[in-house]
Amino acid sequence: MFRQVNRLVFQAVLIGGLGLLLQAAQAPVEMVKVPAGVFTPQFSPRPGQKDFQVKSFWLDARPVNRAEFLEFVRKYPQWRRSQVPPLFQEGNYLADWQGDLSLPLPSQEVKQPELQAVTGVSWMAARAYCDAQKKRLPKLLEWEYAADETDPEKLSWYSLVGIGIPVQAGVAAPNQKGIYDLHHMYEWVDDFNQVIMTNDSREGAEKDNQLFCGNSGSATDRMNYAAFTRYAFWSSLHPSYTLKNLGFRCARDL
Amino acid sequence: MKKIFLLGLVCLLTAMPALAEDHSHHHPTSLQGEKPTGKSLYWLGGQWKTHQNQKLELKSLKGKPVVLAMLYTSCKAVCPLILEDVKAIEKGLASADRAKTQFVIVSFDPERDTPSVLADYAQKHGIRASNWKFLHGTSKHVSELGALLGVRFQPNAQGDFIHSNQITLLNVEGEVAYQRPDLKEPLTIILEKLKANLPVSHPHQH
Repeated sequence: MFRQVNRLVFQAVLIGGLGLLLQAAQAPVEMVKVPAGVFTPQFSPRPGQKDFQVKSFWLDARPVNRAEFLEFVRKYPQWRRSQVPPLFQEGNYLADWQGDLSLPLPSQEVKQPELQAVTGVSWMAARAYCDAQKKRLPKLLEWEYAADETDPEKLSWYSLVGIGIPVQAGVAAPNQKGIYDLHHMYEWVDDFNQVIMTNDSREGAEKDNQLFCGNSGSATDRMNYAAFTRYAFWSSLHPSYTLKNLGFRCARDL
Repeated sequence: MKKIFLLGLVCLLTAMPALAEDHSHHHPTSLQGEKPTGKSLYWLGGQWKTHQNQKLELKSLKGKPVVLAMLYTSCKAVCPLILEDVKAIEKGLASADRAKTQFVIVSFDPERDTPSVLADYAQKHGIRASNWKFLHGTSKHVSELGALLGVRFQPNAQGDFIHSNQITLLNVEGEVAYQRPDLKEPLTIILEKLKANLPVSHPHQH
């Protein structure tokens, strides 16, 4: 009797331990509840309106990493590198992977490539990923609101983002809202293509003028170069673009 | 609202056999199960419905060029001009060529522009021809279509949209063959491109 209980306890401990191990290997990304607030974006999406009420929402605490994206393409073969049509990716989709289901090899600088933020993913693929997690891409306003801080991080973002080396997601210190890596690379947002409204097509000289030349007066904080760069970057994208320094994270309504 | 949805569902279900029939006399070049070409918009999925409350898959448009514009029906200022321009493109074609072309208007206001609202809109603008389709989609697929085409639409505080005014020409494969960037460009340009993209061979000759 006693022995049997002992064995049961042993089994329970074993199973529990295994469970913990498994969890450690593929801990689902934590989400941070971003509190509601009023936000003044760098560029107003609505002419004549400066401040915007942002509802509380959930945001992934860190960008999606390669291991997670690998799991996704295992489950959804149509999003493997060899399967995604040019309509949904311009040609460098997951270009740094070894193959459809093999990640980049570890290197001197990057010991655990699977933990790095996945980049080289198009908007269509990022959307499909979040969809599969029953999440969505954050709205531009939500992303900027979550990233908005009056701290020097803004400037470090400016210097880091150009390097194009994917960050190990979730390692550097989080910001005041408890969110990691918002200032280490570009990230997709759901409405990236709505940044600047013109009556013209997407290849608009006018659009660039609005951002860079005559129109800097419409920017609310002229010193916030990081946000400035992000808006310019977003406005230049097409949903099929796949770039080395462009990753994503997901959001969810409360 | 729910009632309208249910009514739509009922109409949809009753329309199903008709749709299945429609698939059987598909254009011979669009074989069943054949993959779209790389940049064809017909990779885009989604549950679309026409203003006649029929379910539609974008890839069923394959085989004929498509003149496509996006708008919303409660728009008072610019959208009627977009529609008038699409009608003018149709009028610019010889009548035999009109039948070889499809005219597709997609609403980027799926919440208000239900299939029945779209039907009223079509009627109000005197559109009866079967090669015209006013499409209702889920907001997910509408925003994907808009993003892929570079059409921008952003709701404003007054319940209107700020939006761009492109008219897109898709070739028989569903690839973007030309895009008229704004309302200023003379229609002759897109019309010439359309004529160049009309299917040459008659569907029955094969």
